[in-house]
Amino acid sequence: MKDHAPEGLTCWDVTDRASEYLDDHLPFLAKVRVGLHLASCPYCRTYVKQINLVSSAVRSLPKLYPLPLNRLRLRRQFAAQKGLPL
Amino acid sequence: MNSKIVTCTESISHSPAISQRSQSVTSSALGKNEDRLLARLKRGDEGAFDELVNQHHSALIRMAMGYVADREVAEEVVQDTWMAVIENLNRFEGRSSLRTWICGILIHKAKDRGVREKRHSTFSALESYDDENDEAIDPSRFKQSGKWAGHWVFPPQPWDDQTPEKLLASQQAVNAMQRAIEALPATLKEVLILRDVEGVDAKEVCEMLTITETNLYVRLHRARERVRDAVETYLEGRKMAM
Repeated sequence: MKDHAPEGLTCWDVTDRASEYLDDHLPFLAKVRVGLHLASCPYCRTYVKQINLVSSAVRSLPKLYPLPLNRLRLRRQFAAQKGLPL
Repeated sequence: MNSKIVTCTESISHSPAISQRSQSVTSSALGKNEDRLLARLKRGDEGAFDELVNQHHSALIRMAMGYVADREVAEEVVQDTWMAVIENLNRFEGRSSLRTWICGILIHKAKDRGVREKRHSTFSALESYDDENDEAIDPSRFKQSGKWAGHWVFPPQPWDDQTPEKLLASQQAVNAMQRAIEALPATLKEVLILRDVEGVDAKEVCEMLTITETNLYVRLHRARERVRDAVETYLEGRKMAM
């Protein structure tokens, strides 16, 4: 904690901006300020890493597929729409 | 430091490239892969249609679950969405990406079905619960007063050598994440699915949901934090049991 300047961003500020930081959506100066805070705060680095990890893991959650009967109906509808033999 | 953070840091000096990329996405709307897939679909390639369904079905089901009562109804809504996609495919002009177009149809149908199920009052309750003035992270984790107000009291503990792959290899961690996503109000769920699962560009998400980018990031971060919190609870519980 001793590395933080009291007048700088707080950990709370940084956690609030973690998603915008990761998505590169912060204005330049805000990004620099968050980056400086992260360089000196291992707790916020941990937090940002965890948000990043969760965001990546969500992308790879197990896939869901249509029920077999629904898939068959869709294939038939697609073939009918395109004038393909059923 | 993980790759995404490194990318963000590196891109500080490359912001023009980012804005050019955003513009090109907006102007052509379809990426090369999607363009090829669309051409195959329009030719009546059944394999292409299977590919399209496999690509987006999970996200559509998870998103529909934010609006309707249960998985069964969500399956029906998504089935209706695919039927509408088949019917209107020839009229799709590529003004948006195929993915955005399909998600737009789903949101419309799911909202409609939710209203018909008389769950409208429940949605209002959920939306008010997702009060944008609420904090994303539990305020009690930070000091509330003094020189160090706003700094951690209960900081997150490192997840050791966790990677997305390792996390996903644990069925219990996957269940914890799925439960957390299922419990999200529709407003948070739709942004998480569109942005993180489907990878839709932030501007496109805003257009689709008619929200501002500020609003998008408030919702997106709140959703990510709830999933992170679920994983943290699961990992801490596992540690205590050991």
